[in-house]
Amino acid sequence: MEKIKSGKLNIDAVLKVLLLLGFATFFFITVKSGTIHMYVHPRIVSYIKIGTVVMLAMSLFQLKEIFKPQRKQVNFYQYFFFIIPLLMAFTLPAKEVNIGIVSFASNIDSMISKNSTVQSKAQNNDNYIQDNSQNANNIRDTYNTQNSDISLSVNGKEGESKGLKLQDNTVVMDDSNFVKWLDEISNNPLKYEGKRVTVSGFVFKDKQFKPNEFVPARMMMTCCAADMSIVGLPAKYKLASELKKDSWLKFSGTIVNGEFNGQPMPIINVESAEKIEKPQYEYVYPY
Amino acid sequence: MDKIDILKKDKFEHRLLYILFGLSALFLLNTLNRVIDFSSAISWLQSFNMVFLSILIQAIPFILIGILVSSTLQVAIPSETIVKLFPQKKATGFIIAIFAGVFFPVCDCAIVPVAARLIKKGVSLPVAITFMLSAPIVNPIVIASTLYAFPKQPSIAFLRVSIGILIAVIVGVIFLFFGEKKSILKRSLDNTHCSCDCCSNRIQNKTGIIKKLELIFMHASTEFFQVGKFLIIGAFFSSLFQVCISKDIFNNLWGHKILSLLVMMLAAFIFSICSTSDAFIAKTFSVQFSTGAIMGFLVLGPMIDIKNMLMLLASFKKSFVIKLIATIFIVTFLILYWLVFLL
Repeated sequence: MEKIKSGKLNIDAVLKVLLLLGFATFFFITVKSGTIHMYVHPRIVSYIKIGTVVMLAMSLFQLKEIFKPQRKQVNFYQYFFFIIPLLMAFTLPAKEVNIGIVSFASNIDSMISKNSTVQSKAQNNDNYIQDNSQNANNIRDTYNTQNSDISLSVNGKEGESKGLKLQDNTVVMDDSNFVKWLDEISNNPLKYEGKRVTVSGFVFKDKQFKPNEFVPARMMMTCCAADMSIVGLPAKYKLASELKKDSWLKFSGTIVNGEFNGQPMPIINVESAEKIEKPQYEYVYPY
Repeated sequence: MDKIDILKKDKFEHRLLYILFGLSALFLLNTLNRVIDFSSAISWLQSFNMVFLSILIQAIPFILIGILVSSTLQVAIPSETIVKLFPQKKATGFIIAIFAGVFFPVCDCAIVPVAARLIKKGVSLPVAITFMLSAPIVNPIVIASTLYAFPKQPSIAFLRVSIGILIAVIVGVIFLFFGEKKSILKRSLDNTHCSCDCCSNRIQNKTGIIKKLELIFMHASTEFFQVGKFLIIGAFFSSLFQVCISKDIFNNLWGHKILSLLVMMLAAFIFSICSTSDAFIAKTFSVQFSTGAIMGFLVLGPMIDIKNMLMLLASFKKSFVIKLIATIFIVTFLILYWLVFLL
């Protein structure tokens, strides 16, 4: 086997080590700072940690090669492809995906799942603990709660098996249970007819909506930032035209079986709205 | 002769780089044209950045897992054992290929390096192809997520798995009859010049655990840079499409059954969503699209998409990859064509 280059330093190995360490560092920093939630679903975080360790191990083994002579001709252009994402990762700050930009996110018809039927008990039933004063850290904690079935006395039916509970006969939709409540209400419109509801979300308006119509919406992430979509129950509010798009508010109202966009579906008749701070963890998850 | 061929392959990569730049410059200019103020352009770039990086962050751990499995297969397990596991006798081979996927509950991107390694180790091509296509669909996590995303509609999960297996077997059989006579493996620097220890079959019995571990990791890092490059290109293009394509396309497809199917299949290919969670995306389409069209999305996505295609290009010749993708597309379309009218 020819020794093509026998300089002091094996550039190929050095580049490999640097790139591997670069990615490992980026992963580490992102997980440590919590920014990872803007990129991927919480369940992926453990895999990221495994990936970081593997890349560290790979770079350590590569270190041994640094002082060995380079064995063969290497195409250095291939490393260019790795530098681009690293550059972007370290120079552009992480930020919430702009709603209007991601391709299928603002498709209004996809927001309300008409086809969903009553949810059967899912195998891995991570129950979201319902908590009025939702602290940002609860997202990760509630996600990690294993199968602790919160047995609830009030109605003792399907919804409760997922940890959904009415508080003072009011549906409270917040960070941890937004999608579950959404599905529950969409599937059981009669059960929740007339119930009061509070929901926190940003104001979403589409050109097709009437002046008093809007959606208190959230961005839902299923796997990573690339697949986000906007979800929420449609709402009618006489002051809707005064609501600023994308502003964060907490709405109180009643669930009624009305019609929206020509379709019969449960909607919220909003009675009041108060401004809130944008939550630290903006995204909601379906599971 | 060898070296010249290899240098020509490198030229292909240079050209890919230029095309990448050219296309992205075009897309950038096009979007900038539509954008009035500079802050929107920055916002666009940031969104693109988030989408692009998120695909990478999500995929890299699974790719690493796939590469580690592939490297372990290469270093620690002799070819004979592997070939025995996947019998050459086609009938049993196919059946085993289908169910082997159950033991690989990983993202579909992790399967490609493993399948490539199996072929390099001597598993017959049709069987390996069936394995590669069926594994992401019989994956228990994928089945579970499909059931979860479409509650009280287990028929969707059932259809997904059965149609997926059917297509995987048919494509495998097609390659059985229209087999590749010449080698389909890409000849890259590492394949031909890998006369270093890690690629020699003789070492398995001689070396201890530590040395084997070292070889596995060395091999894994080589593979990481070979495959990772294509993953990055795939993620780049996928993100570009996602932020540039107008969403109105989806609104105009009411009633066009065949067109919906094609759009769904294309969407699955372009968006390159991991098979373990694309059921939730399919759910958001379920309002507008018929079940038959959604099947196109659910069945094609795990088998082939931009990410997978580029990773295949890392290990196989261009001509083979094109043939494979065309076959998958055509078979999927033909099978679902009939279902679209039934569902």
